[in-house]
Amino acid sequence: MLQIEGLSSGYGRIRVLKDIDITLRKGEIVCLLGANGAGKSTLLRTISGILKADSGRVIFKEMDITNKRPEYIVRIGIGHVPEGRQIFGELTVRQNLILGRYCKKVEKKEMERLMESCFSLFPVLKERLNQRAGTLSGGEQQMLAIARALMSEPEILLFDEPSLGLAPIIVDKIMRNIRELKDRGISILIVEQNINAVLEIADREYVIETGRIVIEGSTEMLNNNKTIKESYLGM
Amino acid sequence: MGEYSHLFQFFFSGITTGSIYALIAVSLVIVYRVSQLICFSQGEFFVFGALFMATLISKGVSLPLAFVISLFGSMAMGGFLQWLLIRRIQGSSIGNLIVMTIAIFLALRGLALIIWGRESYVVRPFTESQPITFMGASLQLQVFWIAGITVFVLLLIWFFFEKTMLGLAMRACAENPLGASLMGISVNRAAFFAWAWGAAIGAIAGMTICPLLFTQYTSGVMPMVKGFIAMSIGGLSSIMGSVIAGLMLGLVESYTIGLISSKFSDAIVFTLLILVLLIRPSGLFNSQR
Repeated sequence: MLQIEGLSSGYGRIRVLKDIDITLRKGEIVCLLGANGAGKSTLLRTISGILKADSGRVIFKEMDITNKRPEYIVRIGIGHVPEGRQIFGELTVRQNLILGRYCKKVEKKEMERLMESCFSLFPVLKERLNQRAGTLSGGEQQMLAIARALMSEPEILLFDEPSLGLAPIIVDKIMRNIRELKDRGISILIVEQNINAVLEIADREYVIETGRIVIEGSTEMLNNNKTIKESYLGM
Repeated sequence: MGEYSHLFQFFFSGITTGSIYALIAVSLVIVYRVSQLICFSQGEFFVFGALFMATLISKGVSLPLAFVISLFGSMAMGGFLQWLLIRRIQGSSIGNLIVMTIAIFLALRGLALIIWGRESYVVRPFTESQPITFMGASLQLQVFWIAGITVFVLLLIWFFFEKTMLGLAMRACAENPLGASLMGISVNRAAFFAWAWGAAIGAIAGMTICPLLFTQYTSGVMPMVKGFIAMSIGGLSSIMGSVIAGLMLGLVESYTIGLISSKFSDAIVFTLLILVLLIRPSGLFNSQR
């Protein structure tokens, strides 16, 4: 589905990612683990076209999408739920959702249908529809950020620290929601520091350290390997 | 009645200039909201709008048609300048961008001097009729055109930013450029439209006041300065705030001219700005940030 080959990227002259290889297969939840500043967000932003890759390739369904514009990446079906949610607080929930569909024009009716499909996952958003997004609670804002990304009907969703700043009970709910997205057929690449929460839902993991992949394996393998858990994940 | 009729007269002349300041301020706010940039060339669209319309009318084009052509011309000019000059240095420091808008301002003023010379131009009022008398005050009908057009433009702006996809996208860019890009909104494109709309509104201000004001190539400076003051008092990013502040400025000016002396009107307006900036640096109407 998504293949990252030898990708290097960063900010200006500072190289954050060095020669990264990652594969995301259809219907998988793949998690990137690693400390702050290891380059996880940089990777997601490079895939989304916000940052330019210095070298390497990003391949989506046999198409080379390296260094395409963000508009293009969203349109072909790669959504991004960014770190810190980045919702539009001054706009209403409905307006946020409408903008989630900015990339592909749809009829009003279809727009309503897409929104209903979001509400089936996050019923609370329907109650808050005409409220300003900035007045939502942290958990609701995260749900809105996910729903907004869903409006573009992505095949792949990139999640950047969805648990950040949320109470544990809300984190569990969000993780269950992500699981449901997988059941809806969306492939998921997720960056997380809350390892316990994400290991509950992920199929495979990559551990990234100072811009390089150091470990790659299934959740099962990770769970059974005490050394890795202790030395890399601090568990 | 005698004394009061003066007060009415001042009120209407205050509303007239106030509407113009409000329009200029709104055009500044639109660009500012999308690009966080104060566009000091905005007053030149005021001049170009008015002078281009005056030229068209003198060539025999009907007034409504001249209005529309000049409006779209200014809009195209605004968008073109953003595309040609601002976009290239997007991402460099805000200081560079501001200096660029000042350079655009000077260049456009020079261009206006070359095209129209030093003469002043005036066009006929939109409705030709004798001034009417209201509560003892004598009113030009153009005053109603100005107020009406201002209200119409404001409604249109409200509709655009609340109900249309592009308007929402522009607000999203202003609030959260990263979030907006991830939705597939091009921040560059939003800035392009902001410049086009801003130029169009500036031109509307120039064209509607043109029957009451002799316009020449230097006429853009004062409206720009006053619009900027209104914008600052209004809190830089608030459309509502800058409209109220613009009208307020117009009224203060008009009453100062009428009741005290025309010498003091600018001094009082600037003092007002200093006071507002000292007491409420974020502006009177700024709810955000």
